[in-house]
Amino acid sequence: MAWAPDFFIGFCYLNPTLGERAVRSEVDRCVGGLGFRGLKLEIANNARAACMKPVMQTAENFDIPVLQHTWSQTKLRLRSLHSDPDDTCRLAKRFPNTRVIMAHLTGCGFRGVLAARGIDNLWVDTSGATPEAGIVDHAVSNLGPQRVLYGSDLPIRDLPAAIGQIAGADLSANDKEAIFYHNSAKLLKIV
Amino acid sequence: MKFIDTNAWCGSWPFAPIQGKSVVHPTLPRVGYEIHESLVSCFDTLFQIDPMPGNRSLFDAFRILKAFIPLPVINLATPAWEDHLDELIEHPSNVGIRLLPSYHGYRLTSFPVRRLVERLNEHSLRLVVTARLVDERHEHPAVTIKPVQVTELEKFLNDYPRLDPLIQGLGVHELKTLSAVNGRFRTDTSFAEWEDTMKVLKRDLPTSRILFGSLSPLQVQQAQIDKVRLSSISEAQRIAIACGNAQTYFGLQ
Repeated sequence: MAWAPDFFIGFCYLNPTLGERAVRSEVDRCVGGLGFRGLKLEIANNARAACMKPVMQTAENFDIPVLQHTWSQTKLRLRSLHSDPDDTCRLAKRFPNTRVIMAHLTGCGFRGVLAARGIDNLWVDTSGATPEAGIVDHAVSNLGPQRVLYGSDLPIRDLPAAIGQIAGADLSANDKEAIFYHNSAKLLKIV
Repeated sequence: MKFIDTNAWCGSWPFAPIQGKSVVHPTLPRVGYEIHESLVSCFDTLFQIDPMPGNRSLFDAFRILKAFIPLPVINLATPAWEDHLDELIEHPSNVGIRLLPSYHGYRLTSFPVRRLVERLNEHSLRLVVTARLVDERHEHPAVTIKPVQVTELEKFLNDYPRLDPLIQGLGVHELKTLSAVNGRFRTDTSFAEWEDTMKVLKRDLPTSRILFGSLSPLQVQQAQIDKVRLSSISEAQRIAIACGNAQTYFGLQ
């Protein structure tokens, strides 16, 4: 962020299992002190776990979104550490005043898109896995174009492929532009 | 940049709403996507025990569409596979045979593979092995199809040192592992992905062994093309991966 402050927007990584004091301290340092604009939760606990409460309340207090790593557990069966789309959608419903980004649309799959319908404080990002056909179109048709955010998953994914998954989808130019830029800009309050 | 797609499919796919996006759709080939020729197999050959109706439909459909080259599938678990091979060899446009051991339930170490390799050598046909079509984490709940394992591929390559097959659907880590123990194979770009994928692949495989494959219509064709077109490797290497290597390997004009 210091290297290119006009380009990078920091998201503060948290491990919710470390407890309320550690969570609040790190958010104070990163968001309050360094200007981070969101919280990022990876593979540490399930989104339904009790330790999520201080995370979500802190995000609400700072008015920042929470990005939750999410992957369909139909095949993985690692639900104690991972969050299934059902879990992340449940999290958004439990904390309706906090904006939630359900990461990895391709990992969430068609079932994940259906789980996300009708949740006003939930967005999905397009990162994760190879550029499977049909999933971005399915998300736009079920959730609306304003609910889908571009995500690359760099550096473990190919940037042109991540962009090409949206550019090559059967969507209007306006919808693609919204996904690539406008939806995130609005969510992060940078416009 | 001109592309030859070595991993394209047509027909019905039951698990995702991609109908109408197959390579035989009237809107394809898409000029903007720069695909010049595609080697095409038929999804029907996966799910029906007898692959020949799917293979025959390919040859019928593409008789006059020269940009599409049928790549028929042999199911070595069917008793009639050698009769099927006899029929496929008769097609003058045939350049190779595709195997899908995971979908058809046999190993690359099984006896029929040896006989098939002998027959293909007699007729100078290439062997294409599909290790994976779908990310196994994303399979339909009712379906469990494990990709062909690297250890099995290693044994297969060791058993046939002069074969030089095209093995498709491997990820970057699998390719790194396999190339470290036996580099006598070609691969495609369909499942390999990391930051600047082609640059990463080039560390473990000579560029001449990497062929473009889109896995269309299961994957977004433009994304797969851009992965090669916009890579930081040299233009000559990008052109080789996009089309030159496939031309040489399959003897295409």
